[in-house]
Amino acid sequence: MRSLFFFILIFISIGVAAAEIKLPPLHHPVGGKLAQGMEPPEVFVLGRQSELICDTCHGVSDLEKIPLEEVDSSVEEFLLQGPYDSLTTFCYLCHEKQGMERFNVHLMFDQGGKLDEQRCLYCHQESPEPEQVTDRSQLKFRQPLENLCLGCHLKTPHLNTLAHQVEPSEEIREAMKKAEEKHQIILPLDSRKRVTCVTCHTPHEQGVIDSDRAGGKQVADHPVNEGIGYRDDPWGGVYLEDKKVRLAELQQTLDKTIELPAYRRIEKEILLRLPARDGSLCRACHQFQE
Amino acid sequence: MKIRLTFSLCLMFFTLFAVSAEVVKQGDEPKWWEKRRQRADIFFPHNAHQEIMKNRGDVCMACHPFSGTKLTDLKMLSKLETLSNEPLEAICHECHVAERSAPIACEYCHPDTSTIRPVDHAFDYKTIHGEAAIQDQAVCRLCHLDLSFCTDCHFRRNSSHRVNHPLGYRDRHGLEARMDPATCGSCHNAGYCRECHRGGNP
Repeated sequence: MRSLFFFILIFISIGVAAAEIKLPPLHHPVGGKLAQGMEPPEVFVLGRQSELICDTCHGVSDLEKIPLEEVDSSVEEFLLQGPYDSLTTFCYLCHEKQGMERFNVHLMFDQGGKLDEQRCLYCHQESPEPEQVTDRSQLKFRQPLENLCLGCHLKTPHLNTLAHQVEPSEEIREAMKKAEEKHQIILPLDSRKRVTCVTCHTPHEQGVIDSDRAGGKQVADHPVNEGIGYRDDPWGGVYLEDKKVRLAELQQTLDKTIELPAYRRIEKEILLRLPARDGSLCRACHQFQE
Repeated sequence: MKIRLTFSLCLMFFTLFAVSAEVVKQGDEPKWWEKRRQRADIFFPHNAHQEIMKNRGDVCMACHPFSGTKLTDLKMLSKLETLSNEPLEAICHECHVAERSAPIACEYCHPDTSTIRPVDHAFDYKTIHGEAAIQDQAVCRLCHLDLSFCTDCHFRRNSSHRVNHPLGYRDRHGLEARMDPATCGSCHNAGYCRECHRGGNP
């Protein structure tokens, strides 16, 4: 009788464990109480004991009952009062932006306009003197070039990055060489001779390297802290409509919901070695016969 | 025993060979941009479009978008990138069809026109197209932008074969022409009428 009770207890424990909500990696913890002084918007309801629950942030009803892989994060109310332009915009509704925000390593000058050499050390082993660098091989980085951006940026932060992270063909290398000479720029490859983030993007804010030097040439339409400027374009709707059927077919094949990012037109560019908007950057590598 | 061992070894080698061949095959799978040159269904001369696309505000990224994504599953992302780079019919057709500010001949961009031909356009469609054309000419004009495509046959004068109106229709066309002149106008311009009716001829 006692062993029967013991087995029933084990089964119940397994059942409870199995029923525990499965959360995605890096999910905000739930069950905790808010820090003192934190004042979330009124619509952000807390649990009975003032603890964080699913409904504090999510507007999808009975979210905890939906299996993780079936949750559709693209619906407007997935995050309360959404959608948001970025996840951090949502975070700052409760968390103080100032102080919590990760610093932007590309903003390299302090308020007095002096170069903050500590920023250099984010990527470089030692802060280089730009004027004394005559060859890229003189530079010593903390990580292989291809890894430096990761952590702050995804490996594939925008469409068409994956297709670019390859060793360029002889034909393309030749075009790159010509473009470097023509525009007096650099188009560096990673440690395995593949195209990487810094092939197209320059990590240095304008002025860190003299704009007369190849490494200092860049497109700087507006301040770095404002990021790239986009504007909605009528083609955005046409683009999504055109891809709708093919996207549905793809989703059916993969049995997953995929969000196709909307098409928006670049209005202001920053931290690029050549303008992308007029195609100059693309044409540095891609040449066509017709 | 020896035969069994030999057989097992052969089977192992064969399996390894097949697997490695498959791996090489997958690795050699051409990317979308490599397949581009082999495509017969569409032709896009990039250089010819450079300036006009620049004037319209987006040169490369209207068709090859670099929009931000948080998708990290590389397999899914690869498929999404292929989809995002697929030619966008609406963008091409704005100039080549709607505005006609660019060449309108289908075969310029679709060298193999069989890839864009509607399924009902079978071998005898030429003889039975009349009904569909009368019902909705706009559908025909989605592809047949140049009216000469119709008039080359329908206005032929070097043949006794009438392809639209029955024999003797010229003598009795007046009533229909007065009732619904727009119907005549869909093929005939005013000059066609004036050729006979000029100088007060009824």
